[in-house]
Amino acid sequence: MQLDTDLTGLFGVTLVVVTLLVRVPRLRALPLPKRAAWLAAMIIVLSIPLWGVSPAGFVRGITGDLSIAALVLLVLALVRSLTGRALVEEQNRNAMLRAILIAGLLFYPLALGLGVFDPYRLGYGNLWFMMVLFGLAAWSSLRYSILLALCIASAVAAWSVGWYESANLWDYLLDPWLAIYALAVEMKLLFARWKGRVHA
Amino acid sequence: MPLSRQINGMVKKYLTLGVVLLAFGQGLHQAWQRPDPAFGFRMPVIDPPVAQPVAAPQPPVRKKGRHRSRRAEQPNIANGRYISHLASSRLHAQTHASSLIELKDGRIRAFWFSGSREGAADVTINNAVFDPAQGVWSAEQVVASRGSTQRALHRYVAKLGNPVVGRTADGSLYLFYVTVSLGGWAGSSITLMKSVDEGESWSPPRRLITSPFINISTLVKSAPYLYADGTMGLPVYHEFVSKFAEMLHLDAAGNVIDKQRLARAGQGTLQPVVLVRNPQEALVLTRYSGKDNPHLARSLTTEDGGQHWSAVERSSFPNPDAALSATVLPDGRLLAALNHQEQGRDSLSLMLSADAGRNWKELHRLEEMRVVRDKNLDEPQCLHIVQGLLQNSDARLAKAPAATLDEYVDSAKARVRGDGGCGFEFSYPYLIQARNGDFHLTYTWNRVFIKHVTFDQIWLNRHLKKGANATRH
Repeated sequence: MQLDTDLTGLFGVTLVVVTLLVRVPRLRALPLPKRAAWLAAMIIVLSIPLWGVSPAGFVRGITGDLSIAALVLLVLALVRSLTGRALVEEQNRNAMLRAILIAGLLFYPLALGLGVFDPYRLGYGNLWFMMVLFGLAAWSSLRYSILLALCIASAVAAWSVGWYESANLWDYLLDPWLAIYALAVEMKLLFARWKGRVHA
Repeated sequence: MPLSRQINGMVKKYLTLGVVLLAFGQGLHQAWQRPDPAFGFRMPVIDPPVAQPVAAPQPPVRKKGRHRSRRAEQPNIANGRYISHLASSRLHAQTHASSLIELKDGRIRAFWFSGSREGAADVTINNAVFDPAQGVWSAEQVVASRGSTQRALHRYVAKLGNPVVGRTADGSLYLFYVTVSLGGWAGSSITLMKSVDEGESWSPPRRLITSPFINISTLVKSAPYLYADGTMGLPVYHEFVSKFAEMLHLDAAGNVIDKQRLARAGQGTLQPVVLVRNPQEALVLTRYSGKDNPHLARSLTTEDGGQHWSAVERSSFPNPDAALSATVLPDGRLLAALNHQEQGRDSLSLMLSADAGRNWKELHRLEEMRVVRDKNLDEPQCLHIVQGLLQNSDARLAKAPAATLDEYVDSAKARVRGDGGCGFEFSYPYLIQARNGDFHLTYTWNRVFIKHVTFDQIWLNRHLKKGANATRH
């Protein structure tokens, strides 16, 4: 029985639902105590097993567990929705998402069978892979994106304590939903830039 | 930029760097502590054949109306023993993908999935035990259901599939089975249960995480094996977007510690079967689901205990995109059970290779129904054949009251006459050799029953001699 990793998996799914809910305009208009009560009620509903599995468990069955990087973004989004204050600048966040997008575009085709090299194998504690990641995180913290560095560091820390069922570091760094989100954000930015040029 | 903002930015950067150093300090320590997956195989122990007394020649039993299975149950030292039974007992269900393990007391436990149809929500993982001394199978029992699995895994599960059982280095049993939450079989994940009492009871299931893409598309079909250090190798395969064979490496606690890709996408290698020949050498045979003709099974080898695998090669025998099973005989020869045809699954053969899998010859045809393919048989003719096959498959049915036999025939009818014709399927073989040298083979019988065939080394040796002149392929 792996109740601990089940709880962390269900926590991720619940966090997604709560983060989406707090953005609903009618809920945003409520005073903070009422909003908190609504969210608490929603967390309880998501956790009640219906026909053997909770609504959060149902979603988890479809989505799988979210990466730590996705959880960090969700927490930032939740804090922003609740307090109106962004903890990380937009530029920093976009740089992080661009790195996620590049990683996803390189990683998933190879991991899904393109060629004989499987990068997913490196995630089982390969020291060289860890050293490369360390270099990337250190460089990112000083020169590129603090958020990317924090996401990588959080993923490595979570992997080393066995936060999820997975023993593979890649599952903590990246997930397909995050890669799709990063793609959507990048396309939105490109579209906005193109639109700006057209109107200029 | 004001000085205060610059200082603030520097503080943030160096604080982040501190967090990175702390996290990687822990992560690198963890990675350093993790033992590297060991390679080199552990050899299974099979007792040498017991010296048989030289029997006086016996007159052959030639009584009209007797079925082969009834004849075979007569003790016959000269000819050896070949007996068949139906391992599954549930009627009016679809049954598929069996797997076997020898228990410590010499009994055989089999697993398969069964339900109203393949992929239905009511499919369960069932098991039954064969007692070789009595020659009977116990009633089948449910080991896992969709409900019990999703409750324990705390996530939605839509359907269950292929179960595979293996013994760990500490003597426990691991039962792996396929679960799907989204889509078809390409959306599969592997779930694991453990038993410390020879399969009488099982731990709650837990999920193996084996794929970075929502953990989908890792399936299991073939027997696991042990590495020299007691860790386990589990042959698996991937089906999402493209199909290819892989190998999982599990530690003593059942955690995935490594994964190897045996073939790249597009090579159509499915359901790898690992044949450990010695501590360093192994052969992998795979089902072929590609489009190349002739439709031949694929193979690859290792010579360094599984650390590296050769490029995929064509085998010398056909494969109709169907599972196969094989085992290594104590003398190093390979014995396989497979559909020896390029299309269809209406025959099943025992094959032997004496040269490490390069050439194979057919030793014995276990099932052969290709002859009725184009005969346009009507229902009574078809069901008459089904009745005969059932009686040949299990001696109890040969003696059973007509009403009981009719029930079995009626169960089989749903599949055999499924398309209005008379189509047979003998597939998904699973072959093991018990410690006493006896062989046990189960396979899907027309998707309605699991058939069990057991034969001893004398029977096999007799066929080896008979097949000495068989055509080499």
